[in-house]
Amino acid sequence: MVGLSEGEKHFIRGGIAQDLRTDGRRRLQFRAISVETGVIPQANGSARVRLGATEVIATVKAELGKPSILHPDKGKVSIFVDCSPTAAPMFEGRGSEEFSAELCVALQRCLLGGKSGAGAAIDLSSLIVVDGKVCWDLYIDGLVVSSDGNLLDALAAAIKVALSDTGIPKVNVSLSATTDQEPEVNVSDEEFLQFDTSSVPVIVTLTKVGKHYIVDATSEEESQMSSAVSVSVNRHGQIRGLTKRGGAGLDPSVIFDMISVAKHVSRQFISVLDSETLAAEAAE
Amino acid sequence: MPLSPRRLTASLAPLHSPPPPRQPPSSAPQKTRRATTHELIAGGGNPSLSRQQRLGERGRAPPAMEYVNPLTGFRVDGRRPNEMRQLKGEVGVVARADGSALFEMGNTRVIAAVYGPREVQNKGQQVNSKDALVRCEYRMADFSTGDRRRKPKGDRRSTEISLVIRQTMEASILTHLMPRSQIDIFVQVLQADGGTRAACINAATLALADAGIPMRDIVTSCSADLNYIEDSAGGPDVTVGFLTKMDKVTLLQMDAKLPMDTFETVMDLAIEGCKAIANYIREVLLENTRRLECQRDH
Amino acid sequence: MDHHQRWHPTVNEREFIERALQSDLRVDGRRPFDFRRLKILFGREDGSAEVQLGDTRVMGYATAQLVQPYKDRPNEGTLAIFTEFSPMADPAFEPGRPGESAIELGRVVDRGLRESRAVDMESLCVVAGKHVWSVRVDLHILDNGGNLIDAANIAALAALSTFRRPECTVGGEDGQQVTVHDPEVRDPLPLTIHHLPIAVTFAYFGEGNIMVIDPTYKEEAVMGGRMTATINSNGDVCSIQKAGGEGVMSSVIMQCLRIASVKAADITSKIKNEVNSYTSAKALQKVKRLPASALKKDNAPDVAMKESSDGALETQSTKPSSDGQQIDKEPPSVVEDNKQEDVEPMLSECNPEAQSESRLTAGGSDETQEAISPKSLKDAVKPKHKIKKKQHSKS
Repeated sequence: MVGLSEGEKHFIRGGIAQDLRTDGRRRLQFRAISVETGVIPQANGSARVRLGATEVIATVKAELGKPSILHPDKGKVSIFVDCSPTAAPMFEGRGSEEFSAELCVALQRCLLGGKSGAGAAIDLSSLIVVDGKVCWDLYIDGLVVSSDGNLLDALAAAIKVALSDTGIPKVNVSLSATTDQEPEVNVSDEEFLQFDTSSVPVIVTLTKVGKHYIVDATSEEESQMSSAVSVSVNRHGQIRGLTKRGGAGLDPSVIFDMISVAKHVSRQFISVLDSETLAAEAAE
Repeated sequence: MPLSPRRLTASLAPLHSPPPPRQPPSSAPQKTRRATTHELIAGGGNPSLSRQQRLGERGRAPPAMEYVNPLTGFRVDGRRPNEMRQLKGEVGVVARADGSALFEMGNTRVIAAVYGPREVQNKGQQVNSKDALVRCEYRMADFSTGDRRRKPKGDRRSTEISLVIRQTMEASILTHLMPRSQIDIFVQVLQADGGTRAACINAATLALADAGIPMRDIVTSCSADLNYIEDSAGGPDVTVGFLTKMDKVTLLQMDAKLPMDTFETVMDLAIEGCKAIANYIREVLLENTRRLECQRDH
Repeated sequence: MDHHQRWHPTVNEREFIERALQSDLRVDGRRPFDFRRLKILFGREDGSAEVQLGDTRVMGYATAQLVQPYKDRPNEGTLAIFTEFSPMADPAFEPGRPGESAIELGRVVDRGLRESRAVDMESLCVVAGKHVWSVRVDLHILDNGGNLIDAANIAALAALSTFRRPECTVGGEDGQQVTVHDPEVRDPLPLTIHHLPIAVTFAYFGEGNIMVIDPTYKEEAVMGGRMTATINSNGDVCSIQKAGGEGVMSSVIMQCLRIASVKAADITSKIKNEVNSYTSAKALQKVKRLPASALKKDNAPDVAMKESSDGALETQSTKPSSDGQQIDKEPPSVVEDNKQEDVEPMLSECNPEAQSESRLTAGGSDETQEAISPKSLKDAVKPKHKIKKKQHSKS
């Protein structure tokens, strides 16, 4: 995917060893992040996040649906990811399916919680309108428009911003006399409810190149990785998900080390993201 | 579910009071480019709207049908019947592509990325060794339409549009200058509100120019219809792809029954639109060149 | 993407074809605006037709079944076109997934028929929101001699013109029960076709200055661009497909459309003639199957049939470019109906319902009108004949 000469590979690895990466960053430094909200007007909430040359769009669409029989007191959330061929020719046709599915599963694990919905980043019971009858179905779509590494972190950040941008219309329910009948719902035009996104995590991926690990790797750097650990951390510093990719094994102590570094880095990342989001909302 | 009548009145309301000042409809279309109601809301250009109001416009499909108000003679989105939607073009939006562009026509927004000319990846696809191989893929984002629907990739509609875009771009690319090489054009629809294929062709033209691919002419595309019922309503719709300097039509698609002379009027209207878009695209490219020049000087 | 290889002309072949075209000559001896020989053959069953356009052969087959309608169109039937590009027709066609050209062909034929509302969809509704007829046309490309779109379009029209769907009635306690009648009990009904949208394909050569219609396979390999105009004999443009390629002036496009409308009129009358002779032949067959005793008894309808078929030929010859929507031909059909009534007392099963229906369809189009005379005959014949056929009933 990235064609690199031996010299270039050596240069990338050497730079990381000396804590000076090819684009001048330190090992634990993110690229400049830029956030825009409300970019897709037909969605209930949307955000565009740029991390260097990586660009992703996340949208949240809410539709009224019926809760599942197993969990009549909960709404439903689904996450889909698509990698546009504009990002890389390898995503052409069905070429993106495998990679999109991998990103999608990683995001679902961090955001959706267990099978019953317990522990989900989004409180599923807040999506219920009428118990067992009407609930909100949230569709979260991620689209990779431009790809230069670290797509998972960018997607998670975009989803977090899109969720905080989302307004769910207030629903007034007029219950009919008999409970068997379908309740009449009236979707409000004026009042909107916003999500509590404080527990929605960000993902920090630590990519191991040589003996060291780096955050926010570019695609050139990713091509040199031996393994990568993605840690999802929420605002309170709780670890919500953990994924390890790449073939090389890691010593458990290294993983513990990585987790604590990720937790530390995530604090800065969240505060940057927050201030960017606020600025974007003000600009909107 | 949001109800359509309410949606229509909501978008009509700001137009009726007070009636906006209008120029006589004889003025050239490119002069009348201006933000419409939808765009003000979509682009957030109107500061008087509160956040709650803005949220109110969210999550809804754009009006299913746009029509001319018989009293005012304006369309639902505030345009005059032969007025074009607001255009916006921007090059270099995908950092890693060889050429890329964003193109907006009203609420329709697409991104095009060009990779190449590069070595032919799959030799089996090479038709002849004298011309460059041009390929194209059209894709719609799941969230691009009003009702969210997960569509299978490579359905009949997108396959046909991919073919149409590819052959239209091939008409303008000087393929004989790049033998044994391949040019990939990828178009991604972010928002669909009628005229997606026209917007895709315009975006692809900008992206090809951004990639520095030699072309014999700027090919632009525009949709027009005489009844002023937009694409989504299924009215007669004519899409034209036009080579401006050569004054030739390369793409022409039309469905719905239309008498021949009416068709000619609609086609001429679309050609006028193409010419206006070509002027705009030239402006964008010139502006981009000036910007690059400035960067070089500093 | 087309992974397969199409035939490519050699430099000499290409030059030969292009040079010849510059002096208005085509490799097969045609003039620029001549169609190749068009032949329409009908199968044994209604709704199947094979079209031969020069070396190109396309088979069209129309079928219908009861389905639930689309939610946004609860009282309209559906029409869908399916294409099958057999590798037998061209080595470039690969089995399996349809290629770009197959998809384009299907969509062009489909749009020409549907967007111009050539087939009346409302008359295919049985119970609004519950049951409608879904008509499906399968187009099999048997041999690719160039210009598949035009041939496929004619095949679809011929198949639809001769197609008969089983009659069905609504009844039952809730008025929602649908009974599909055996074609031997009640005559199947033709579709109401308002007009015939004819696809005419132009090929452009040499920077769009030279054009021909109905390109052959070799001409297609050389051409710089192509445009298919679907137009009916009234001169209404139903659909246009010029998917990129060599640019042409807009004045040339208008010239093409005028040529196309003349060609469309020719092909329309050709299709109508062929369909008429097929329906009358079919009706004659039915008569021949009658036992001798019945023939004697039913002399009257025999005469009626002869008259009507003669009449049909007359109207066709006096009005070569007659369009599908003319109603001024109603008087002859009324006469026929009168004749039919004369015969009626003799028949045991000639139901008044079938008659009223034939009146409804009369004037709808030429095909449906012509279909009336054999219908009345068939009614006469029916009680003597009972062939077992499986009942398509769906509740």
